Amino acid sequence: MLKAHTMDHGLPWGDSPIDLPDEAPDADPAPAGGLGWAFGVIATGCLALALFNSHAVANWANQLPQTTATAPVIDAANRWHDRAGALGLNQVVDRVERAAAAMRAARWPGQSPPDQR
Amino acid sequence: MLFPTLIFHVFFVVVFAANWLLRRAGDWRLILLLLASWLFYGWFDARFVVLLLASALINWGAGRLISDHRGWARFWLVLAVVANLLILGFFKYYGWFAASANQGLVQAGWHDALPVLDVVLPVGVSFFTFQGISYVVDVRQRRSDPARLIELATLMSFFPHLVAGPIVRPAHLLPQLREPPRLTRGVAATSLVLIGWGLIKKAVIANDLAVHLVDPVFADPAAHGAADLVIASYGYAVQIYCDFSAYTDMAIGLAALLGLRFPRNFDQPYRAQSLQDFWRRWHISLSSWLRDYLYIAVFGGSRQRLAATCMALFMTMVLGGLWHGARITFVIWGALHGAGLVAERLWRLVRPAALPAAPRWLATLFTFHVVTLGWIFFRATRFDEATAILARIADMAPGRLIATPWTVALIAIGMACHFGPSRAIEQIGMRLRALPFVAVAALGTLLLLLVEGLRGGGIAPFIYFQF
Repeated sequence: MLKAHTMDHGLPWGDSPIDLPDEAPDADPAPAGGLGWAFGVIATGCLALALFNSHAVANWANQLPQTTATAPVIDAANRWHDRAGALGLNQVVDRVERAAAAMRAARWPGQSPPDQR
Repeated sequence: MLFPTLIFHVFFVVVFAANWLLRRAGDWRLILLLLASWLFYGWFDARFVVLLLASALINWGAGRLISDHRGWARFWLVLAVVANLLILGFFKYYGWFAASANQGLVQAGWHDALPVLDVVLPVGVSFFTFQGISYVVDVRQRRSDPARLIELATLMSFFPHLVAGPIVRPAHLLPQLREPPRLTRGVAATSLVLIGWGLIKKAVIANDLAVHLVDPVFADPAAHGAADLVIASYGYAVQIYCDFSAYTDMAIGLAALLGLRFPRNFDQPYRAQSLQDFWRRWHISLSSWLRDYLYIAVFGGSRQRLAATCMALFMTMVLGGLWHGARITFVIWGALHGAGLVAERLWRLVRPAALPAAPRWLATLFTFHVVTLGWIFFRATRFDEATAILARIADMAPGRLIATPWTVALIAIGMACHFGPSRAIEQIGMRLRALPFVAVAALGTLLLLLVEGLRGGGIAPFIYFQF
């Protein structure tokens, strides 16, 4: 009785930004499964970030409260950050940071620098 | 736990793996998503989880009573809506009410102020309360089947949309929770694009605009010149769009990677050619919620006399403003939009047929400036602060200029993304899905490294967390 009246139909196709035009539920041929591909992207991306983004690990570790339990974690994160820097793995983030700092520091002609305002 | 942080990254990778390992395990997958959501929410404050669970229990019980006792359905519905509104009202307005009551008592000669509880506003309380209300109303109106407790708890708690939407209708999500999840390559690729684009909007554009322009200018408007005030107003329009749409983009992408489809929540809102058009593009899930559950269900909608329709429209927007918090500036923001929507409706009725339509660019420009005017009231903490900003702009007042080429460029980028192809995310997703996973991982890593380098300092909480 209840079922006959319900509108329990799920989100209509096309209402989500992830609905691609050729991947409708009744598409022929059926769209390729993406689970293995997505796992591959995420796993490879995580490994690459662990190598090239030691900044994030060091930033996170340095925000932890200093206790006997966290001290080895903070120490390891900072050592890894230093090692990655020595190996040149931090170059991308370092260069972008320097470029971003320069862009932030740029002023209009005649505009006071921030410390003189 | 904030999306653009390392801790959330680790959390999500674990949940992603476990979700797909349990994809054919029925309720075990829901239990996993529920526990993960509670962990995510409890990261803000463990007490909030109890409130979330209590809210789910109330709405689940009400849903059962409504569906099992149709003769009393209206009674149970009213009771459930009142319970939801009491929860929301207590946390959002208790502080204001208690302070006002104490002030009134002191003015009346009462010297001992009443003790006031220090109530912490639970993050996202509005969003899960709205989910709860739409569930009981939809069950009453037979737009949704009654859910099992675990289904409703997952619907209300699901971490991607828990704290700032999008508000997903029960009829849209419950059937998805009952089916085994599915992930195509195109969905995975498009989700990654949404997450990456959201990260750029939040961590680079919104964050930098807030820190280097909007917050300092709005904190002390009297010290800033008219140019700074105008640029900061535009800056806030871009900041709030980039902040909020970034959250929902990431929420949609994260949910999709877990096999659940969320509705679109933003559609290039500053391209709108009228306020009505704006509200079809801005926070679509909330504006459609207000339309269905307030404008139509409570105030009667547009199938009544013109004056009543106009009043319904105006009151809906005023209450929408008041929902953001007990501040006169929010009410004025809502009233401004309400008055604008009423004016548009009346203009459509009396506009001479021979009058040529305004060029689209002019309509867009005009609508954007009305919306930005509203944002000044929305961002200001006091009414006199907002009027002082407007007065200084009108007077072309001299003063400090802290807007830099960088902040102006961020505003330009934030605006430019409104005028690109409306389906750009889809198109990029379709291109990415054709690439091998290693190439996409390399592109994703490069993007995250750029974001890491471009973002200055930490990540501020999302603006809509406070509502």
